[in-house]
Amino acid sequence: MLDTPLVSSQEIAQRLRSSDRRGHEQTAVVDRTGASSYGTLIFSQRAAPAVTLDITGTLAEAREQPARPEQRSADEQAVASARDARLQLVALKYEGRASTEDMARLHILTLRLRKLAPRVDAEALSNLEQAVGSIERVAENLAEIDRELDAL
Amino acid sequence: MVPSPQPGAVLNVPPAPPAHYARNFIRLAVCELRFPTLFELDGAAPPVALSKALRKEYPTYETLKLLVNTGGGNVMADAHGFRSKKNRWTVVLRSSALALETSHYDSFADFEVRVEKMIDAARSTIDTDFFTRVGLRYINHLPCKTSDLDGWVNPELVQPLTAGVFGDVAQHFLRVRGTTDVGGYTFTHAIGDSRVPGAIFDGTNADTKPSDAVYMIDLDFFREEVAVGDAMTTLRQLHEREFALFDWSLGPKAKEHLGNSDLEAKK
Repeated sequence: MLDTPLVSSQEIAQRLRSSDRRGHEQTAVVDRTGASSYGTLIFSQRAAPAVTLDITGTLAEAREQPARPEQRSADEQAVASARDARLQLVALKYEGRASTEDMARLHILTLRLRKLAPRVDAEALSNLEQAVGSIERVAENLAEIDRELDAL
Repeated sequence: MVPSPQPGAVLNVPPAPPAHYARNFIRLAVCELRFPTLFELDGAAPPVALSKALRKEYPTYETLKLLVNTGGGNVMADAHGFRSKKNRWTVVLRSSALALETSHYDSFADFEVRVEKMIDAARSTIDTDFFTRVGLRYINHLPCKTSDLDGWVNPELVQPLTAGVFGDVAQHFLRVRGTTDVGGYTFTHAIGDSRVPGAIFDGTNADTKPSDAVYMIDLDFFREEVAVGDAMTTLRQLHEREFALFDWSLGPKAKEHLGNSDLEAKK
């Protein structure tokens, strides 16, 4: 469930304007002489990818499990990819380490996920509630009919 | 913001006509295009499409571990570096920025052609239709002694220094941040460290020698939130304003050293 409200492309620009970065950064110059003293990268600033534990399965277990789809569809892959990237960015945001570029990508991915995997909106919920109401009324009517038939 | 006599005023230097000099002071020129972050660009292998597109002009690839100075601090970053033959031009790709830099700058005409090709090559890789920031930075080192700036730099910038008011200084820099009609700028004129473009010389540091000192004029103009399709127009606008400030910051000896512009000769 996406908790970021729907935003337009124009709102992305507006949110970026309110960033604390305004006017306080310079065009980056690559300082290779400084980097050479660090040698091999010691740590990564990004969150490590999630590690999944893969238990060695038995042949019997494999026979019991339903066959998995060989491959996700392209849409499912796109949604999964966007969702994973978005989660990384949300984590950075709440750690207070997200840059302007990170926030921009977060907004793009939020929009993209809204299109690829739209959440239920108020109208759809209302329609569902009406449908439930109709079903309940029909069920009530049927129950009434049953009672009248029983009484005969 | 420090209020000026005219609140809301932007950079106000006389415009300078386009010029192409036989010599220049440019130690490093950089165009940096920042875009929404793509973590997949942090991988060990460079993006295939970009590598293919750049291969002809930038045949040498290397992975880079960089200390990136963004003005707000130093950050370690992984990057992909694509170098031209003779290592004069480098395209650097990070997870949130694409940059072209050169230590052999000749003309803006050449520079913008390379930037445009770089953008075309990277368009499908960076997956965005806008840049969060377009930056154009020139770091100039003047070929004069820092103890003898008279005539090399606009006296309005260095008069107390050249008049000996401060005596022998171990460090001297002035950094101005302001706005232009198209974005913002950072202007630094300083006794710089010739070993590191953009670095301020620190005479109190035991690792430095007096011969490392050089007078530096560092101009960084930028605009934020630029559509990819508008990047080249923005770049030209930044260059125009940057050149005007550069021209204003020079003294007569510096202009004489640059020589005549061959753009004037062609007229």
